[in-house]
Amino acid sequence: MERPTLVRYFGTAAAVLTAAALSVNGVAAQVGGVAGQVIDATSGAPINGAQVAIEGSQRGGLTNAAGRYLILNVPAGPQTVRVTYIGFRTHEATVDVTPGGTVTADFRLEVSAISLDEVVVTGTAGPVEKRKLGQSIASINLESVQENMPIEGFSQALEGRIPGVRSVGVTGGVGAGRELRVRGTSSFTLNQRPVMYIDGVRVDTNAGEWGSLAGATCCAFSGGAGEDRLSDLNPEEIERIEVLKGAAAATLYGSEASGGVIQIFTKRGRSNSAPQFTFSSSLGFNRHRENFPTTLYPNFTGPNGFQALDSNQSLIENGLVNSYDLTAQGGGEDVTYFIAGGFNYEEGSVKPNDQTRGNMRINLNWTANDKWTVGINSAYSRNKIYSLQSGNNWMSLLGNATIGSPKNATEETPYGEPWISVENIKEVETFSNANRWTGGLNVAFQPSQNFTNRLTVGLDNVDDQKTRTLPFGFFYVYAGTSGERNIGYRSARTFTTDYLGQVSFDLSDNIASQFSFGAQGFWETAETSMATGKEFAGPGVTTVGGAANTFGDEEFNETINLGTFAQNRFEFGDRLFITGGVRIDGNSSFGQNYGAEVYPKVDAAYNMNSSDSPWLPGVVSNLKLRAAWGKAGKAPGAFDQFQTFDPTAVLGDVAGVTPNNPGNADLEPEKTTEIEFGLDAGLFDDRLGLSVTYFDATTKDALFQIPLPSSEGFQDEQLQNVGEIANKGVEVSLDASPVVARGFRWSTSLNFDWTKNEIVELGEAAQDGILGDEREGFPIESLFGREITGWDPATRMHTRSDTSVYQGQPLPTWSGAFSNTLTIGAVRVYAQVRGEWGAMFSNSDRPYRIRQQAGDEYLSTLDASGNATAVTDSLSNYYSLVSAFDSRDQIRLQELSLGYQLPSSLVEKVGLGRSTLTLSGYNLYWWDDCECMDPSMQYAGGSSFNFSGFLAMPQPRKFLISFRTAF
Amino acid sequence: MNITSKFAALAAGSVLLGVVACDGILDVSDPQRYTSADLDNALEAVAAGVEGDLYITMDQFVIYQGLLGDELQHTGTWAGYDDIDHGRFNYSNHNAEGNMREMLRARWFAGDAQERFARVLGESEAATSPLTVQAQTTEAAADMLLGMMFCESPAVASGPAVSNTDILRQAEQEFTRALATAQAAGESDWVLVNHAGRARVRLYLGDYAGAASDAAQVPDGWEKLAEFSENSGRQNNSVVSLTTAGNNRAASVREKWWSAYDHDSRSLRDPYTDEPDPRKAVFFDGSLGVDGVTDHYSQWKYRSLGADIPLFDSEEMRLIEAEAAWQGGRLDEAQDIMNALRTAAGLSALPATTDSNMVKEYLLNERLAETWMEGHRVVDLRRLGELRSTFAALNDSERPATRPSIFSMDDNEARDNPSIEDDASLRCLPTT
Repeated sequence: MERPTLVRYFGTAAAVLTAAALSVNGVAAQVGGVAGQVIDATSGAPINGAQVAIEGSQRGGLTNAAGRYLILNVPAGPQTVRVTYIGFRTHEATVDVTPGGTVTADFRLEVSAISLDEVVVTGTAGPVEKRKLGQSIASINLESVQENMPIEGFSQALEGRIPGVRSVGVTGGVGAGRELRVRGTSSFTLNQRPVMYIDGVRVDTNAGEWGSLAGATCCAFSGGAGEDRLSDLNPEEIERIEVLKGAAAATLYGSEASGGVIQIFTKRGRSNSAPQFTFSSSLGFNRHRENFPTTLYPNFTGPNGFQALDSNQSLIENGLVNSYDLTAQGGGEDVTYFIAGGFNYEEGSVKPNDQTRGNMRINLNWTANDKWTVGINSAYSRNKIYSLQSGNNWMSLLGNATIGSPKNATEETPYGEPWISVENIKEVETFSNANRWTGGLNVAFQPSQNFTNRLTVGLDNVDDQKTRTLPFGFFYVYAGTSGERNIGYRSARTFTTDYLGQVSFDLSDNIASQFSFGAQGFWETAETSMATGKEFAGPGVTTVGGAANTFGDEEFNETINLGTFAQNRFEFGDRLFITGGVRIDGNSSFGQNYGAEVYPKVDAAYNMNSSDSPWLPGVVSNLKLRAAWGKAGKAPGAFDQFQTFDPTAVLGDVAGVTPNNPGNADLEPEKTTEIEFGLDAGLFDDRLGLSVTYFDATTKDALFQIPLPSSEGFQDEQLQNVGEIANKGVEVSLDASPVVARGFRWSTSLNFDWTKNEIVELGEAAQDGILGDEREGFPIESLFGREITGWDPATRMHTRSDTSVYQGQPLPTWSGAFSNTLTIGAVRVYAQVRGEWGAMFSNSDRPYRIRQQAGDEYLSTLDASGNATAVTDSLSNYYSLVSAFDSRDQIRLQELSLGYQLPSSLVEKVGLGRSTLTLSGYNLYWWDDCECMDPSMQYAGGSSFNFSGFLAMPQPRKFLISFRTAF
Repeated sequence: MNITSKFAALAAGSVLLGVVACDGILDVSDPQRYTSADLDNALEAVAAGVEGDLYITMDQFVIYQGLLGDELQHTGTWAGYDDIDHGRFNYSNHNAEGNMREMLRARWFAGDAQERFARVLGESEAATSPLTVQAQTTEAAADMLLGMMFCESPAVASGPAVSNTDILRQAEQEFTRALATAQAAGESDWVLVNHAGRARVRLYLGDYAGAASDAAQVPDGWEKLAEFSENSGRQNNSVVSLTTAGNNRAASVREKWWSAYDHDSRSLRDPYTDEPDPRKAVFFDGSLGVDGVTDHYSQWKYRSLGADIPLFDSEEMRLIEAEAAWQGGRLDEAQDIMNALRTAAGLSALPATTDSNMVKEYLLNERLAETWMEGHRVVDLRRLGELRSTFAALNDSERPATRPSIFSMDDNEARDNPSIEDDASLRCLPTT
């Protein structure tokens, strides 16, 4: 079958837009300008970056560092000017624009802890204020976050800021994957990372190792963690992030959205503004907490009298962190621009491990006339990572240093390394070198005030080359000493097309309607190729072709999704909003016997305030009640439906085949239906914002790998839609500005969530409610293991249960974050504490160490002469029989910063504007309840279901001094 | 035309264009795998794949059989290996289950291939095709291995479980059928393979005359190897990667043999003449196993990841003849055959005896030597009633004499196969 071309569906969208354009008669208009200043009503400080828009037109802009704005080419006559900025109340003013003149409109914004007037676009079929939405949608203004805390990596931006969104560092090498998921786990088999868009363009979010293709010695390239493609992003380019958390909210994204949708919006230019530059720089270091389990090692010597080393003292170093970013925003009457360039260099605390990243971006926006606007976004990044060997990997650096017995220490293996010496591992060079281009074209056409069209086309292209070199002459398990070279190339491309049309009209005096319709499509391909060379003649040659034995391999995946949708929002007065819609999707991964999938939705929002609802309690200034019901899906893997046979070399070098995938022509997407209730309230004159959401989601037709009898021949299990999964929870966020005064402000934020996950059904293949490792009535990926039942004095050994019992669930039941910001004059202090409770993990390191007679836990049981005691024997026997399950409960001092705004009298002398100096710390300390280095560790990176920290690397602490200025 | 009419027209036009444009747009194909239809044009690759699928089960077969018997012991950190070595596994929790799955898949593929050949080539051409011989022999060999390793197996895909004796009888019938096809196809080497396979199976079934008759067809110096290769990871011999110095030292030659180790010859000394026996290749360099505690004596028969494992060879056939002679009371004949093999290996003759039990002991030793690290040992000890006494002699409290004597069926097969009940009380697990 031929691959389809893009021409077909680009052509459709282009035809529509052209037809619309041809049907409209242009009308020349008289124009004028609007200018003014926006300031903080309490402090009097100008507000930089406030959005100023002329209602019902394409005209608008951002305030500059002085809080000033200028909008030209505004049609003459009465116009409504609307100003919004996160953390402040929205204001509107009506002005009379005179032809050829400029009218002044100044604004004083009051602090507001709720943001119902904030305009969002993700999942809403066009820009709409939050107060009109029945579903919950969270947003982060990253510029505001960075005022408090320098954000060096994108994933840190989401950490602890949105209830229900879990962004946790699980592997400690720089550039390595982080766990990112929304509202728990809703699938047995499919990737749980939310879908991500940047300015409407879908992007690659791969976060895990590729796998050992082409005969590469375990575990190419760096073990399980791999690299996180989100580490390509530069937070300095990002203005805000919107997050859709559940199916009720994500319906309009169809067959990819049940795990949530994250949309990143990059910064825009400023109309009629001289270039405004922002420069930021950070300098600091990473350093691990010295809690590696080898503190007793120097008390022991090896067979030759060599004293063992403590990895806390000899492996932990300061890893340099250094970054520079320069951005420029500005523009003229019709064209605005945002240009950014950034450089980031970061070393891990255990070396060798570093990341060098360069980013460039240009966003242009051209307002051709009252009807047409064209935007172009283009971003390039180069991200080179010297990856750390870690994870379930013979070459795990920290693993080898902490899992061998100090009684085996020698000069070559000073930690008693059981497999490969640390010094040999440090000779391994593992690189990931990614070039990424993400770009898009946005065309907006508004032929009349109540009819808008928007077309987005874009491409995200990632080319990642990886290499690993095991040098000649150094010993590596399975590879010997003859050396090995692995190279790999992954090219991932995602084409996005998105058309939205919107028509607004009044059904009556009090009922307005907004009808939206459109189509979305994406085409994803990922090609991976690898080559391996084994056995070199000597040192000095490290190319694959220079090896005696060479191997190659290749993988390809392709997915196409097309969907069309329609929805209508009814607005009753300005208080009640009811929206109903439907999306229909086709996807190339659906079984050939299965057609399209339909995703309906309905939501409602009812707004009240103290003025129009006097019956509200006095403390309530604004209240929105909301409810939403919707369905979203998750498509199967690209080729899961096909029955296939794998080509394979057999009998040495003969081409053969072997049964692989039994296939399933009836394969459907997983469907998640969610109902959500909530409220958003402003209390005490909006000084306190409260948001509460309850959700109840059911995933049906969950995909599960159903084992077929081996006697039926196929290697793989058959993917079938059999399961049902329930997720429910409560999310609460509380934001307050208890004290706002001139020269002093205290802001506080608390968010927490409770989540319950349960497997409702596993289908007919389940026996007694058990299928594979999953059990009905338990959370997904629950931990089961045998337990010690007693001690047999006769055998002097523990006894264990015959069957496995429930040990716990992998994701926390409760999680939350509490942050506070104190601003005293020019000084700002910020802190975030994050916690999670209720999760367990398989602490595989622990029994492994004990069986190896390694680690402080084991060594502390020996007598003064280093001989085993009864306690030692008991411990050894215990962990030869059962696994170790430990709690992931933790409280973590996640972020801490002290900022000082330099006196304007000082900085202006050198031509700078508002300038801030910040000392910050990240991941500074944690309190946990496990016998481990870090309960968040996970060896298999950010895209895995596996919840084991086996030989993984904990996250280091980070200390920075940062400087940020605008001029 | 007002705005409402305009957008309605636009929307309708868009839908129409979209419907026209989208035909076939969601079609994708997987360029890295074959569909069943593709394979009708790749019959030789199918036959090769069938044979290859069987061979890749042999390395794990050797390891697990070695741990179950007295050839190997666990020196790593894997609970699965440890449980087998110490004989403390039960029906639903032993690692060798994966090996059964591989064997069953190889058998299914062999049967599927025969159907494909018949469909594509036609019945008459398929009946004399070398490709059919390849598939039929593989099917028989898969059942043979199942019968050697597991106390019960499904006789056919998704069929009921039968005892290992019944599986071996099925293997005998399959070797007979494959032999006839090989003869009709003029495939002389495959003729020998099927004689050798049937010889072994008949020996296990107690048909000593039949076994000897088949064995006699195999000339000296002949062998059929299960091919391994460094060409791909799938074809690597994991006996090397998991039990050998310089690799993962997860299993060592069992401690009972260490005192017989001869460093210069890298082998064990013969227990009767104290000569180094090159057939029992072992190597020790002072290394510890991956557990960091136990000395690690590497099997030294396979030393590269591409080292082949003998599937059948003439030496085994000679020993089948010797055992048949012993069973028939012809002790001298049995000793003569064994001594001839010893001479070929550079060893002196065994001390002559008229004691039948002594000859049995000789047979066990010679079979251990000739089929060292080939998965036969535990089968021999079990069928000749020596497994319990072998472990009793270890006097090892962690490895008691009472232990499973063969692996139970894969409980996944029992769970997923509608013809088999996944009930431990109904499934076999014989013990010593």
